Amino acid sequence: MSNRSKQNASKGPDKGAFPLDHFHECDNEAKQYNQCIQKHENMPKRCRKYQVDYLQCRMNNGLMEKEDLSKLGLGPETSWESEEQEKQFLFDKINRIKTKAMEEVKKKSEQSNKQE
Amino acid sequence: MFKLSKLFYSFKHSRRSNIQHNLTDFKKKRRQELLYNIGLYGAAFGCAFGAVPFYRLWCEHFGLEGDYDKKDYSMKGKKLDVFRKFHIEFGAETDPEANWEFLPVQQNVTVHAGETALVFYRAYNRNDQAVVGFATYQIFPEDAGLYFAKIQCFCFNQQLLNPKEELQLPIYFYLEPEINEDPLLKKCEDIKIMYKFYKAKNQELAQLAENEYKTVKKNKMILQKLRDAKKSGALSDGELNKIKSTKFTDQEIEDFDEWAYDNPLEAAEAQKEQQESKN
Repeated sequence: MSNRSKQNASKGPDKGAFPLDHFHECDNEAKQYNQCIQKHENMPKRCRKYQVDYLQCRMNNGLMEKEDLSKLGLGPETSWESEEQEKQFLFDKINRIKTKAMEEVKKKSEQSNKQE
Repeated sequence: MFKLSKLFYSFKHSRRSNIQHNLTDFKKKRRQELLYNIGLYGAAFGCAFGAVPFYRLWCEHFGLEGDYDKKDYSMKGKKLDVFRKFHIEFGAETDPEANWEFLPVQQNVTVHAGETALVFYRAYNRNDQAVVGFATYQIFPEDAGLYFAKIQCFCFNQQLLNPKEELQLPIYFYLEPEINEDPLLKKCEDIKIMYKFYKAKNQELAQLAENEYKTVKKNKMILQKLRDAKKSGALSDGELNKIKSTKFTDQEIEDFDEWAYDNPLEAAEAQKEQQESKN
């Protein structure tokens, strides 16, 4: 535990501090994002569209370095749709295994009934 | 280096007769040696210089990327556990000296490791003066602090808030995917982040802003005078210099109607309406 005390010293942000939006140029996008997040149970992943809008507004108005969205981790691989798809895929897999198992159980019970 | 090359030569020519009566031969040999040495040093130097682009090409060819200037947050090649979610709670503390309102807009957020998320804090300066503030944060549990990576935020930097100004302060962060493998944080589901806004000891930034504001106002007043003077006719150089160097009292600067200067047409209309209503 003593080794961790040095590592835990708070480091600065990677890209430095955000310049403040004194002219309220991106306030609309921020409002929309906040409203969206309230609707979706405080999950930023489901409000990716508004997040992207806000960051692009910042980039356009010189309040943030311009950068590729996929580099910022906002590509399609990490979207909410892909997470839901994965969930659905796993759920289907489990269902298939379950139905197979039930069939096998039925077969075995029929066999044991026949033998009797 | 020189001695090594000498040894090399002596080994090569040890079998021939070592008697060199001819001076020109001797000179030739020494010149050869010199050129050989210069070439060797030059090649070594050139290799050191050429190694930089060569290394870059080599890495590109074999797909080893290490460009740390533009860090990649897309988590390529890392397997993300999308279904282990962390509830991150945001808290805020203010300095009682500062007289701000400082609150998180989103009280808590649900994210998984590796996901980049945006969160806002709202700050409102109740003072009549600009204040310079400084934000720091703390994370509970402390072991999770290792994995809390901020891409950009408003902390660790002096921020100036104008009087009666309300701002949305964003934090753009993510949790490193390695948090899922930390044995100490296996049962960790909740993380709390407390931001504290202090009033900076050094209020120079605010002073600079105020001075700048005053000079802008003074310039506008001088320009207004110039415009009014020009209406009556062309100005001579002497009159121009006089107007440029007028000094205003603080009261005059405060009373100056900046909106009227910025919107002359609307101000003229407003004046007309006032006169008509009087009549």
